[in-house]
Amino acid sequence: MLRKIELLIPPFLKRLDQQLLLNRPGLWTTKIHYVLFFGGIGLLLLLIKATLTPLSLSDIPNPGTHFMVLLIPIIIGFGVYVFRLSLFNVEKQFGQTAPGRSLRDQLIFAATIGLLALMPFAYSYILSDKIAAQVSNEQLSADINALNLGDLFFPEDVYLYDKNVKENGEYHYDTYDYEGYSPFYSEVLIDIRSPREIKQIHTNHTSQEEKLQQISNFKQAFAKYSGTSITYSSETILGLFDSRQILQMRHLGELKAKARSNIENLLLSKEKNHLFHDREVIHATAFSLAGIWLMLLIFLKTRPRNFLWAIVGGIVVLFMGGTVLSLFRVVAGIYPEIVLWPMFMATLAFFIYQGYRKKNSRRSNHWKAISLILAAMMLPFLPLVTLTMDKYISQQEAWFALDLGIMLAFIVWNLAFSHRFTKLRAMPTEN
Amino acid sequence: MNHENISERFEELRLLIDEQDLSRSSRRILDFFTDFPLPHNLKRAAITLRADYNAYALLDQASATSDKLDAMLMRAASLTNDISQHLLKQNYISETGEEAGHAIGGEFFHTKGRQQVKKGEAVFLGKNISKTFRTPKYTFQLPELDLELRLGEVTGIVGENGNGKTTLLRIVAGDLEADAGEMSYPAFQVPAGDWYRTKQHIAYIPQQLKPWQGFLKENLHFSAAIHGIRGQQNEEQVNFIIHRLGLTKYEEALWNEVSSGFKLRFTLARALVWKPLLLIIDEPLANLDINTQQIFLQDLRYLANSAQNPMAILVTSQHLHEVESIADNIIFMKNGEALYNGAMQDFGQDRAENLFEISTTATKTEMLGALQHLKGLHIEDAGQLKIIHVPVAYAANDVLNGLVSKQITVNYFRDISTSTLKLFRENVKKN
Repeated sequence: MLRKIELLIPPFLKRLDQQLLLNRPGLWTTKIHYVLFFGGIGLLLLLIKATLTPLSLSDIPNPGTHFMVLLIPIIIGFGVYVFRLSLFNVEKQFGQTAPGRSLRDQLIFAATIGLLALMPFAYSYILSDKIAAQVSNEQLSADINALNLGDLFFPEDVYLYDKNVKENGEYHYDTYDYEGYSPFYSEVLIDIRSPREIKQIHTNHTSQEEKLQQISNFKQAFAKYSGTSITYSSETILGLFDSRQILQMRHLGELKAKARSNIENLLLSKEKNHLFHDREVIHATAFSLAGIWLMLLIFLKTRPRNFLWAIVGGIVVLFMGGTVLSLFRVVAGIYPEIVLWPMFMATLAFFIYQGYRKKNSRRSNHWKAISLILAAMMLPFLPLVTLTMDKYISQQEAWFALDLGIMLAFIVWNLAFSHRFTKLRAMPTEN
Repeated sequence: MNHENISERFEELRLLIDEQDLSRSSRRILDFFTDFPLPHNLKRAAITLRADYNAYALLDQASATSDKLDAMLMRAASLTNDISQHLLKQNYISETGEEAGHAIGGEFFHTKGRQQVKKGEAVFLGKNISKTFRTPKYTFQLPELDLELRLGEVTGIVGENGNGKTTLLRIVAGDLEADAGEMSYPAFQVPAGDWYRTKQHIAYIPQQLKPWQGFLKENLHFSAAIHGIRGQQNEEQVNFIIHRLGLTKYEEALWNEVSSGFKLRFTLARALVWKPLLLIIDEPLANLDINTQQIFLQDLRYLANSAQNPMAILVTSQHLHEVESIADNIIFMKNGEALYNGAMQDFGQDRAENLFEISTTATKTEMLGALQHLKGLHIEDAGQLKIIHVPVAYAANDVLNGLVSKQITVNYFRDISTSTLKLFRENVKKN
């Protein structure tokens, strides 16, 4: 496998790899040269794809879906990266370490994670903007109105026909019944007619010429957003409608749905309403990435087995904590917010104490490492838990607390936990 | 054997060439380049000679002609002469081949952080080291033991399985904590308790080797680089070690592509490439064939004796004779007790009898009859062999002459009077 991977690496990168190995082994272990090369190529290819891929109004992609799909290779790539990082470790082999090296490596890891995260965001943003520019807001409004107005004449079955049209020519549909070709409220499209307006138009404008015009407008817009033209003439369609006959057209329902979907995707891009546009989502992503960064630092310091046990332990602690809080509420009638902070602090103190115990057996050293990992994972949430002592906390305050927490975790890691892991690793054990 | 001087080395080299032992002579020529600042052209020639010999050793009988061997022997002799001339010019030796006034100094391979050290300097001083393991059913105790390891000396720990050899090794390597006793590493010049920096000077090769990731040569470069050997020097040192230990055939291999013998040799190379002050090896001979065992042990002896980078070597083995052939000090362990702990040359000096291990076609009665003239003789059974006990006044020749004169065929004969094998046999008898 390794030999096959070697074939993918260009000669100049192999030479650079060799130079770094011989001259900067600490930097070499970060694999930053591979990340920049392959990551850079990946980013460039994605940007080119996003920029150059032709778009059609009848086939508008959903950047949100692309974003999620792109996460898969990014996650796999990150997994491969972490695996490669773990193979050569200066500290684990008791090599010489220079001052400032730890900080340098942390910044490199942050840059790596940032580059990997940038890819799906950059691609999706560019694609979204490109989609939004496919049609002007005014044109889109006009097309949506045309579709909404003309849809009456294209029922898919007799039931829908009867639903919409009474014998005396009154039109039924209104806000609650009619599924329009777009949401009827939009931040960017201000000219979309409501179902009430559409109903009024149909009621008030009933001349043949007007109906034929509505049908014709519908056909044009339908062809644009579904990619399929309706070949029947407007007169034929109106004749069928007036005689309560259904238009024989294959997949009319699916084509309408396709048109709706394309318009929806257009609107999402125009309104910047995709998941990756959401500020909360971006904030959450940044926090998660910082968390991943912290976990990476921990992973590189400790044995993989201890790390995995800590993950399992964290899940157990969460589950048990939730159970205890529930019991407090159900049995004693005590609100969780009252006991959460003391429970959290007690647990955190317990893990920190365990991590610094003097007992020195092999098993206890594993437990110490696991305890410190759990303590490091809890630290980012310390400010948030502290704030919840006051029950009323806004979303902004919550994010601020989390940001503060992650900074606290990094500071404590660098000043204390990291050195403890190094010491634990080097110490002889009792058995 | 110990603390050889330059003239002895040249004498040894000439003898090896006369005996057409190109395997050892090519290695010993390379060892000059470790200890003395010699020109690059000579070094290249020495490495080429070694590489040519390695290739010659792989040839089939038809291709491995004596002409080729003679040509290489001539090159070896010529190189030896050139080295001698160069050292004469540099005033390392005089015209008569005696040691000259020029002290061996200046580093040919500068290892960052490696202190200037002298042969005989104490690397490890342990006093009253003890360790106890307890389980519900069993208790094993390593009772108080003193141990001194010095640069330029090989210390062998021998004994049956389960006697505490590995326990003692792990304590010295800093892998296991002793229950009692004082330990120090004077030559390392690191503060007591700083195990990370202490382990930077110790190379520990356990019996169960952990697999390497990546290419084997890459690991060697990495090991050298993280111990301060950078750039061109790193390349040279790794290439030198590869040739010196006969690893050229597999330098581009992966771990699972080489035999267990080569795995051990690569592990040794990874340790030696950064010149530790203390090399600890647990049961290195277990997976090696007889020839490789000899080469391996010879290399350990040469490495310990290096004029420029002497090291203390601590090795455990059940191959008593092999270890005794290179060891300066021996510790014989039985039931966690050191039945002997001292210089190899002193062992058995105060003995009251000589012991000989023998296998013949004769019965015990026939042997007793043949040797009845040796007063104080007794013969004991030891499995497939017999042990002949005679007073110190009688030497090996006396026993052999007695047997041969009675037409007794001797299949195997070994003088174990000054070998720790004697302690094995004594303890077998007691058991």
